[in-house]
Amino acid sequence: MDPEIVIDIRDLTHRYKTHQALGGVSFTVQRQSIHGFVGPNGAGKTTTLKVLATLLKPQRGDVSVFGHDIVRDCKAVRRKIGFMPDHFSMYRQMTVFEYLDFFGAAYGIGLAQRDKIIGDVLALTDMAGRKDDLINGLSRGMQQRVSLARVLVHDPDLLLLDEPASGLDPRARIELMEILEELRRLGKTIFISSHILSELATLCDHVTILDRGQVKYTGTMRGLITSSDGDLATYQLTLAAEHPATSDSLAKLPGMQRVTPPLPNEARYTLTFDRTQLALNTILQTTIASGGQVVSFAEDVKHLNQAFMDLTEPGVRSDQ
Amino acid sequence: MNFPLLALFTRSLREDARGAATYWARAALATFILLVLAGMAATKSWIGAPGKNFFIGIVSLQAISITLVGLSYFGSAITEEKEEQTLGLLRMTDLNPLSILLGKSTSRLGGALLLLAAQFPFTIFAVTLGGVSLGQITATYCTLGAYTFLLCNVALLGSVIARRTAGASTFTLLVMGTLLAAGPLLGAWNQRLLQHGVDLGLKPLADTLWKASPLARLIEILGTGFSGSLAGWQVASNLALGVVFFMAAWAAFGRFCDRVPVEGGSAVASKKMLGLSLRRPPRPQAYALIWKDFYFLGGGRLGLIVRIVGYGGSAIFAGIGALKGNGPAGFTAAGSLVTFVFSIDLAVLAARMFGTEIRDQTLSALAMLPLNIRQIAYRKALALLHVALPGAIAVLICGILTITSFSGALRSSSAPTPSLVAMLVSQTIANWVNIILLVHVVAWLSLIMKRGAVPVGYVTTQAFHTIIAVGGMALAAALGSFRGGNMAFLSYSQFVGVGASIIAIFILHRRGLRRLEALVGES
Repeated sequence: MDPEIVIDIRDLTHRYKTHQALGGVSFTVQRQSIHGFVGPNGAGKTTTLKVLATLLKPQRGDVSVFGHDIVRDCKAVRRKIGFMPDHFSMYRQMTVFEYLDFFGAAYGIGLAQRDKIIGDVLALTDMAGRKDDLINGLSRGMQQRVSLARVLVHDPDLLLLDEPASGLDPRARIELMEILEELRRLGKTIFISSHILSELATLCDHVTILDRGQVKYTGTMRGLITSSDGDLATYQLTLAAEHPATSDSLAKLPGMQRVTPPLPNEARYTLTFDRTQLALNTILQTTIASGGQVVSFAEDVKHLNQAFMDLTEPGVRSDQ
Repeated sequence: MNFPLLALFTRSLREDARGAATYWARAALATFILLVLAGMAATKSWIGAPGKNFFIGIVSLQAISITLVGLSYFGSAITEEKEEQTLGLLRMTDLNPLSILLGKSTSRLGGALLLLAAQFPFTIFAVTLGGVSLGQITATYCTLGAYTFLLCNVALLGSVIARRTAGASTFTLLVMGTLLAAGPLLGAWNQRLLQHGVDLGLKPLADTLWKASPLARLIEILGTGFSGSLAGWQVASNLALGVVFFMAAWAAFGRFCDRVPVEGGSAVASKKMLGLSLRRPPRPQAYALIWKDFYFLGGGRLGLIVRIVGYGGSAIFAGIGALKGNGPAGFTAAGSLVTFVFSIDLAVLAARMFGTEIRDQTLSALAMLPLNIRQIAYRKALALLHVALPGAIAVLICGILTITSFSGALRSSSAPTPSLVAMLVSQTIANWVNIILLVHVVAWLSLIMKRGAVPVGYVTTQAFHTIIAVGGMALAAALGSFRGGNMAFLSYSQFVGVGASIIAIFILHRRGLRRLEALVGES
């Protein structure tokens, strides 16, 4: 087992009566990464998260967290993970401190240690000033912070967050993302689900896209938005005006696979080349030498929404 | 039907007509009646007027069922919209208060009356067993129908005034208790005054109030040789009062329902009651789950004090009454009352044990603790036992006093005591098994029902006991009469009843844990 792999899911399948929620899902999550888990409504994200959180037994497939099988070593897994569901799981008649104190005690943390931990998580979530307030009186954003604080009380290494930003206003979302960044810096691995890819774009380094119970993409966020594939790179070269001589010169370069001619009235060329054989400097030097006037030269980046739309299927599945 | 006035009413009727639960409830009731009827038919050679006994049993169960189920079913008519914060959405439509009241309450009343009507043809079979006439059965159903109408509208007013169903149920209980007890209390007071030579002329009023109660009417109808009208003063007064309460609910709607306060607006942690500041609970140590449920479900120290005072006071009151010469009967009555209150208290706690976790969506957070579902359930049950301890002690004391009192009384009358004392002991054991069964039924129902687990659980448990008792009687009849006489038969019935209850507890226990596991996955 690779110690760098925190979550290892292989061929996970789950069915609810007539509805196939997951059909052979496989992917891994790296240690200390923020791994986005994206998919449209009904894709199977929550089912996967429930399986990872040991709340649902997998019907088929192998799932391990930190090398522990989630069925056989359920208690060991629970000690290492913190799960925040997509709803507020709150005892509203408790104060913020009582709520965290209860979960601390339920995890068997001693009184003195609990005080320190609760102080730390309240400071991290910026709720220290509201610790004596009743949860019932807190706003949605504050309740979300308390929920996150609860997840952190037993100091888990892996956080499973199911759509934590849903229903939050833009400011609360940004603040939540900042807290998650801070948690990553503290060495936590974060597995976060959302049905909005752009929400996770700046936060996540890895992403898995799920649609209709199938993995459509798993890998780096950069790999998703760029058209590059391994050693093969795709770049956009925009010139001041169309310049056939430049196009010809570039096509003759060793390692250049394809030079897509520009659309009418658009002097933008798409270059596909082997980055091990051809350096970016060489491309630029050749362009300038052939008389082309460079306006911009950048990696071909798709818009996140476009990438998402390309990977997922339109409409609602018929068995929902 | 496109009239806004009847829009909700029509929708509710449609939902009821489409829902499988409606038909299951009717089929279950009919099956229950037929089973009891078959049992009574099999044992008719033992019992005089089996038809009447059967009918009295069914009617008693129905009257209790209507009261208990009605408290939450009718009481939640408007409060369920308040709790789910959908009342404002209804008010934004063309629906006026009258149409909301009609739609939310009258459809429930219709459903309850239809449930009564569905039983009517089956209870008529009682005539064939002897001891009861068709007139008595019809008059009884008229009485129950009018009582249901009154209860529904009292609960509707409670539902309009209160913010939560529990508040509406408490209001209904207090109003109905006052209405039903007013006659006897006034009569007793008048009697006292007359003994002191004071005559305020309260007797006609006390009699009128007493005759308006369904209990008085049922006693009259089920008496021998009843030949009165189908609908007497009780029916007329209950219907009229029901209309008055409906009007009151309509009048109060704007005041209490137009601006529903936002849930828990206060962020202040300290609570005050009767001018006293209530401290927050101490910090949890080991067994945090027990701490949580004791303080936040069972009422904590305040709940414990209230229970100690309530149950302790009842036990002391019963003891003083018995010492004054009420004798064994006094102990039995007090013991039965304390046992009944304790079983309902325990049932309410059992319903809340998992019901609140499901309602507040906290089950998944609990399930994430390094405990399995069995450990979670047992720790929660242990917290419940801590809360219920004063009641349990009071019930035990009452039981011991009853047995001691009976054995003392019989010893002095030189009657053969051991068998009766043994029967009382076994009765006490049976009572405890019944309470444990009720708790299991209610806890299990709270996992499958959104509300009403306590009344439905109570009715289901009583129906279960009735079927087992009648089934036991039928079996005994089939096997031939008991040589040991009535006492032996009663012991046999208790043995069968306790055995069946223990099996049911075991099954519910297993199914409950499985259901909890499934709920965790669904949550």
